[in-house]
Amino acid sequence: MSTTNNTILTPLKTLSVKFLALVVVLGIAALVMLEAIVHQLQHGLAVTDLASWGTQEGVTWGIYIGTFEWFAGMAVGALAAVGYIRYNELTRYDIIARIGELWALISGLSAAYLIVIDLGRPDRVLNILTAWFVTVQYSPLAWDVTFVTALLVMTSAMLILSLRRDFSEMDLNKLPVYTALLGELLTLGFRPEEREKLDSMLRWLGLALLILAFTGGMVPGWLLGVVGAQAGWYGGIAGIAFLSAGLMSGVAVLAITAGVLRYLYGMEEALPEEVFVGLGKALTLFGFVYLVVQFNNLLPSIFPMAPLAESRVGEAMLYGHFATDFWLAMGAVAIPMLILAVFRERMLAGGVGLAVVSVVMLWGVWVKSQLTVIEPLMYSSGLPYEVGTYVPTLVEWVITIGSILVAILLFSIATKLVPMGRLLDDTASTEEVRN
Amino acid sequence: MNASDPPDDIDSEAWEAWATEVVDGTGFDVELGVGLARDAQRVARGEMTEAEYQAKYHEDVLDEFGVDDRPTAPEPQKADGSPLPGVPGTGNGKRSRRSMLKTAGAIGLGTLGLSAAQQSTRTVAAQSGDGDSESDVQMGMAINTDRCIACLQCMDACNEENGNPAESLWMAVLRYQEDDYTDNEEFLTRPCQHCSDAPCETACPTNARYTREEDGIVLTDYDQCTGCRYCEVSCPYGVNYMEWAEPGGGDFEADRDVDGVTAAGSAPQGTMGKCTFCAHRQVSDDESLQGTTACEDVCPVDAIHFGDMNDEESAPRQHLANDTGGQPTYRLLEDKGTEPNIVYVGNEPSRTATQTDGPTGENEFDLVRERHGRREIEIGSHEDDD
Ligand code: SF4
Ligand code: SF4
Repeated sequence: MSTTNNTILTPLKTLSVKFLALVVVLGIAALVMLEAIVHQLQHGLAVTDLASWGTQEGVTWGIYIGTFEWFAGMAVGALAAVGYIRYNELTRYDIIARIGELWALISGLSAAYLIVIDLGRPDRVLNILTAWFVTVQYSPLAWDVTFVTALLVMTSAMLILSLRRDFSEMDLNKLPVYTALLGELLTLGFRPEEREKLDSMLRWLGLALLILAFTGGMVPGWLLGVVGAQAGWYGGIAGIAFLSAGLMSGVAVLAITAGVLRYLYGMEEALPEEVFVGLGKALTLFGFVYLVVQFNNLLPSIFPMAPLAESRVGEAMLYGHFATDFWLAMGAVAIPMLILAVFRERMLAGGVGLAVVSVVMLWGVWVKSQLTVIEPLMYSSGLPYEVGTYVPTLVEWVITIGSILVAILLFSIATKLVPMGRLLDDTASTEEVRN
Repeated sequence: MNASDPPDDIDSEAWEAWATEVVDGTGFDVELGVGLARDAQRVARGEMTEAEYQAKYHEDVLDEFGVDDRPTAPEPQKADGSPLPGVPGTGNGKRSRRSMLKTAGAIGLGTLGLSAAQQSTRTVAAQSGDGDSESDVQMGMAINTDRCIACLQCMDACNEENGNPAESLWMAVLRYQEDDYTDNEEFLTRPCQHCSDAPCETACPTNARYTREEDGIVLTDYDQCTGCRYCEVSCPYGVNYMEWAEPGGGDFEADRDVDGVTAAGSAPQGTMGKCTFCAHRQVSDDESLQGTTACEDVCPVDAIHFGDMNDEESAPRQHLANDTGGQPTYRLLEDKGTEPNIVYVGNEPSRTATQTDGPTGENEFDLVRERHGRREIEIGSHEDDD
């Protein structure tokens, strides 16, 4: 069987010491995180630095929620990328779509469990579901649960269906035994006539994902955007601001993953340079849009005609208490974006450069996410309260960084379980493949 | 005659007599009051539009009260609008953005075939025609900050009464200054405002935050609350106190049960607490406790007046009618649209008011501002940020 991109199966078929070492290291990180979670469950949220805003002069939502917003955005961005690729049947980007399906699922799950970790009574998370029929009419948190659930369900459907198609085109006997088993399971009852139907299903599901990303995808932004009590959250641009951050971080995480895979597994054929050019262009555009939206959101607040509450928040961000973090975050998006725009060819060759700038951009979005969440709570307005303080504790850091490392761990394991895309040659008849 | 129990037929003589008696008690123009009340009923029944109602009496109302502050006023009222004597018969069937949203929701539920009884908030029950359970009682307070001497006894009494830990200041007296030119220190006595249009309820994803039908008190169902703190971020007043750790406060001696819901006294770990208007007292078998709160009882200068805001004989309404001493009255952050049920007498803190430097006095009562386990707060440590 001569294929043009059979390097796509390399991650599946190899198992290097380096990989095992990575899994061990990430596994240890996961255990440390677990310990921190258990610690928090035992002692309650008192182990964090969160405190009520008002007389306790703290912030009641901290880096768990900031990281939730970051992961949720990444999920939305990955979802949009998958939808776009599948709907337009961009075969060359097939591998990117698979990476996107996995990341949408993993970051969606990460966002979901971070919310649970942030609850004072995580054991009661089901109350949110039992009250759902009533609360969904007005509680944005209930909308959020609805959206994240929809995202997880639809992404899973996309992953399962696209894997069914991809496995149907492969010789399962040549795959590692567990992958073959998974393939058997997912291609259960597959008939060649189904191919066409599957193709069109993927296409329309792609459209559905796109629509979900651009509509429901704004809900985590509205979670903050509808809160009239908090200047700096409230406003009509919150959904767009969240979406723009999501699109950028979604593409960034795909670019990082693609770059790393290509570098580690020599997947030059499967991940040709033009894929990186495409990703690089998307990242440049989304980075630009992100910056425009962020400043659009902020600048009016420091204008002399702005309401006092808004201006306190805006000023703290632009040249007050948070200025260093804010400008670092903006720089972390702006500079890579400019580099990408100016040195496109050199940056994109090989994918490593793109991966590096993507990491920086993701970090920038993460920092800005934190600022967005905590800042208005710190600079509360209305009643004469003091400005709050917030210094995340070790537990909070361990759980937050742990959640990122666990996401990487999950993805790494996934690369050994499922093929990263489909084989692109004209496969012999499916019959042959099935044997 | 019971003010909350008018005869049904607004054209009957019995109604006329009832309304006359009620309006008479207010000392305002009886004819106007009765006319207002009757037509308000027509508006409520949909026989008259709000615009017609507004126009018909505008001049007369202005003459009588100096300001036309009726809820049907087409234009937003200024933030310090004086509390108008309640128009008899309109009760507290308030209309508002959020209640409209909830009404829409209730209609949506109907089409889904779900029972509106699942709705927890009184607003919905009232708006969806469930009139029998609707009550005209709306507990609230008149707080005279002009009298307040910042002795903080209300804060201490509140924590004692509810068994709260030292850091959960359901009642808090804020000390603030308006400007740098004078050293005038002013005080703001700040419990939960028990809003009629409470954003904390709209936010709550578990329906734990609810308004008690009988008296309009906003409570938290401690058995439902999942500790997400969305109510806290959506309340503009900063009155919510999450119990971050096992509450190390005193004992709460009364029954936590309020009509079958665990909602009185200090909040258990991981759930949200806030002022309950001493809900356990309101449902107490001991009649002498009903209609009282711990803070009101203890205040040495009689600054706090608790009672039914819809009853002109109540302590807060009497205070507002007779004892303001010419001081302005206002509701806190009225522009937020929360329809708070605390009416203040005194100067309203401006948006630029800042907390005064120096000790705030809590430690005299073993109360603290910093959350247990968190490092200490340095008062005035953020001056440079503003
Ligand atoms: S003051 Fe805050 S907590 Fe109290 S009812 Fe109003 S919004 Fe809710
Ligand atoms: S903290 Fe409790 S009462 Fe507040 S919104 Fe969350 S579940 Fe509702």
